[in-house]
Order: sequence, then structure tokens, then C-alpha cells
Amino acid sequence: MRILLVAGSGWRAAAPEVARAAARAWSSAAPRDAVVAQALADGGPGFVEVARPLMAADPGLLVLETALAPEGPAGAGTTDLVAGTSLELGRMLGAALATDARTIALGLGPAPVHGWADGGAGLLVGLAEVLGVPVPGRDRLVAGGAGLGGVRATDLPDVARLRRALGARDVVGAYRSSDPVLGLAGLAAGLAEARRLDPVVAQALEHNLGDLAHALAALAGLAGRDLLAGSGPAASVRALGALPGAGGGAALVLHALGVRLAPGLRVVADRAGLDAAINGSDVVVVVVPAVDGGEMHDGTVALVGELALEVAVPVVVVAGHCVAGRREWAAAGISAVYEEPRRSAAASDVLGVVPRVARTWSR
Amino acid sequence: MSETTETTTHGVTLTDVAAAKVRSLLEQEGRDDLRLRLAVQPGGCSGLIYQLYFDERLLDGDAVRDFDGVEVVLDKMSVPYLEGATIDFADTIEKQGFTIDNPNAGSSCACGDSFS
Repeated sequence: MRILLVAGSGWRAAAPEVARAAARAWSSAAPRDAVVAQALADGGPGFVEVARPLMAADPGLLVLETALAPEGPAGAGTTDLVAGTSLELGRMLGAALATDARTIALGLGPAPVHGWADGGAGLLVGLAEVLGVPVPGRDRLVAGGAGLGGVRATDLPDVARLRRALGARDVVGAYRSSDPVLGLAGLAAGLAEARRLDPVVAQALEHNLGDLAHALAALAGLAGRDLLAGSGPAASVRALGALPGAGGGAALVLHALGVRLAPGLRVVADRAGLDAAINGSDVVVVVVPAVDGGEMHDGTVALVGELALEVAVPVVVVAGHCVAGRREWAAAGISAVYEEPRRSAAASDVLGVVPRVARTWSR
Repeated sequence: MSETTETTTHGVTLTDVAAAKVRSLLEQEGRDDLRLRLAVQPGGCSGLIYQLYFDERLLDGDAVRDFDGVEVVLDKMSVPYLEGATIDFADTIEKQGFTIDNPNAGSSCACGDSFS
């Protein structure tokens, strides 16, 4: 049998390592099966590690992730998210533009991982400085989300000029969650709900990010304006606020720069030829720490199930634990879900279930 | 870096009304270097959402079609989802702005922003 073994993200170990270990575990019980291991990443930590084989296969591809940005003034992973700045991320992107890469994929991890929630204001400064573009309101833009209150279009650098600097490169921001930058389900609200920010501080951050969105909308010329969002400044701001909030809200600035935004899992899956790999398999096995709401909505399980459903290939999931019901995962194209007996999400424990699954499914 | 890219065509149509509106917007901005880019992106309550915007770039794999001087460009991933789609422009009481009519859309959500 041809087995495709897919490891999602969320493990302490790197996803490629988990995928290879799972493949060995399967082969130990079903040695005659042809097993292919594939790791996926959603744009969060580990994105570059998963993408290494893709970069090796395509010298024109460069993959970055926010967690790799050098420590900025507030320090990477700072607990003071509203003081953190994406300045170093902008410098990293500027350095990437100086390479021969025709495609640059930027993994936009969650705010607490990289330590900022400034809507990409610092990124704008870092990129502008690398490219020699003046930034009138530099001090305000690198003061983190807390410093963005009252920011105006006149504080920003020449965004159109920065946009042109991207040239014909395909620059894509890879995000995990499509939760928006602004609003009741936005970045600031999410950080307050997760108790990473005091509610009063979160409300102020929401206002400040809104000011940045207004400034970017005012500066936006015809290029990049969402023509389906209706006309007028309010419509433009609404469209900006609906962008994914990943990367500390960096999508606000990335969108203004003409960067394409796409789910990280799909960026990796497209590049790795996941649909063709699924089509060429008899069974697909997905190994994830947990099958929860996020995993069923836009995680590895949801993506693999969707692709496999199109070609009628069965998908088996092995997880630490599963909180989704049978009707939910069956409707998503999943044929079976196996939980670790003690509901442990440790990779070593979950992989211990794989041989049993192999004995059940291998023919 | 070389700026040359290979382009193919696509099956999206731009109505005369929409093309006229596009020309008007470009003339107002004094831009003759912009193309109209239509893209499909995963997301939304029904699975896929449209994006329609002006773009000065031409990326590898882009498909381009000219409508009397107005170029409509699609990225290669979006082409199959938009085969036979029509971009129109409405200015009525019921609807103002650009619209997308896509025969490939099996269903859409209540807000109309997402389709599958």
C-alpha cells in the first residue's frame, strides 16, 4: 500500500522530525507499505524548518518567519506586546529583497511568539530604512502598538515607492488564523481574551491599530485598494480591518505594500504538491497533537480532509485527543480518528499509537 | 533581476461598463501602468473570497486578457476558479460598485462575500 503520512504543526519537536518518526512507526508494523512523510506548517513557528526541502528544490524560493526576526528594541518574545516593534522584521524583509529570490514567503506567527502587536508599523520603518526611503514619523512608528495613537498618513514613508521595490517578486504573507486585525474578534480583543493584555490596554491598542489603518487607507492610491469593498475611506478601513491579524497585525502594512496574504498551510501544501501526493496514495494518515475546533476549521486535518475528499482517498487521523464529534470529522472527509489512550499530546506518546493503526489499515 | 514574465490568457470577461469605469478611475489618478487584478483566496464563511484591485505588477504565471486597453490579470492559482466569470460595474439603488458573476460558484454566504 501507498501511505502518505502528514504531520501538522503544534509539536514541541519540529514537524519534519515528527513526520519521519511517524513514518518509521508505521513501517515497523507494516514493512511492505511504501510510506511517504510530509510535514506541514501554518506560518507559525517551524515554518522555515518545514520549508527547507521546498527551498532546496527551488532556488528562487526564500522562506522567512516572524519568530526568526532578530531581537528588536523590546526583545523577542517580550511580554510587553504593546511596546514591541516589528522593526527588525522589516529589515529582514529588506535584506530578502536584495537576494535573487523570485518568491518570498513570510510566515506570520502569533503575536506572543515574536513580541509585537503594532500592525506592521515597525516593519514599514525597517523596510524603508533598508531601501533608503525617508520616514517622517519614525519615532512614533517604532514605539510599538502603544505609540500608534494619532498616527497620520504624513507620518508614513512613501508606501507606493516601497511597493514598487517589491518588483515582480511574489511576496506572500503566510498566516494561520484568519481572525481579523480589528474588531470584536480582532487582534487586541483576542489578546485580552487570552489574558495577554489588560482589557483597558487592549482597547487602547484597538484604537491605535485603527488609526494606523486610517493612515494607510488615506495614503493608498488606486493600486491595492479593494474595489469590492465599496467606495470611500470608511470602506477602505473596513477592508483593511478584516485582514488577518497574524504577525501582530502586520497584514495591515503588508497589504499596503502589495504583499499577497494566504493561509500558511496552503502555501506549503501548494509548493509541496500535497494534492498530487494525496491522489497517489491509498491512505493518508495525519498526525496532530489535538483535533479541536481550530484544527477542524483551518488546520492540517481540515486541509487534508478537503483535498482527500475530492479524490476519494481515506484519511485517518492520529491525535493526542479529539474533541470533535464523529459527524464533524466525517463531514470533513476523515474516515477514522485514533486518540492516544491517556490523551497525551506528546509526540512520543501519539506516535506510539501509529503501529496499531498501521496493523488495522494496512493490507 | 529579470522583469520578463511569461503570460497566458484566462476566461474572465470585463463588461464594457466596467471597462469604462476602470478607464475613468485610471485617468483620475493619472496612471497608465495599472492592471485590474482579480483573485480568489481561501477564506470566508463559504470557503473562497474574491479580491479585485489595481496592481502594477505582473508575476510569474499570471494570465492576462486585454479589453480595449484595460488589462485584466489573474494569478495562475485563481484561473480555474474564475473560468467564465464576468466583472461588471453597477450604479443603481440596489447595488453600487464592481460585481463578480461567477458561474463556477455553487453557493454563497448571506453577505455575498464568500462562495464555494
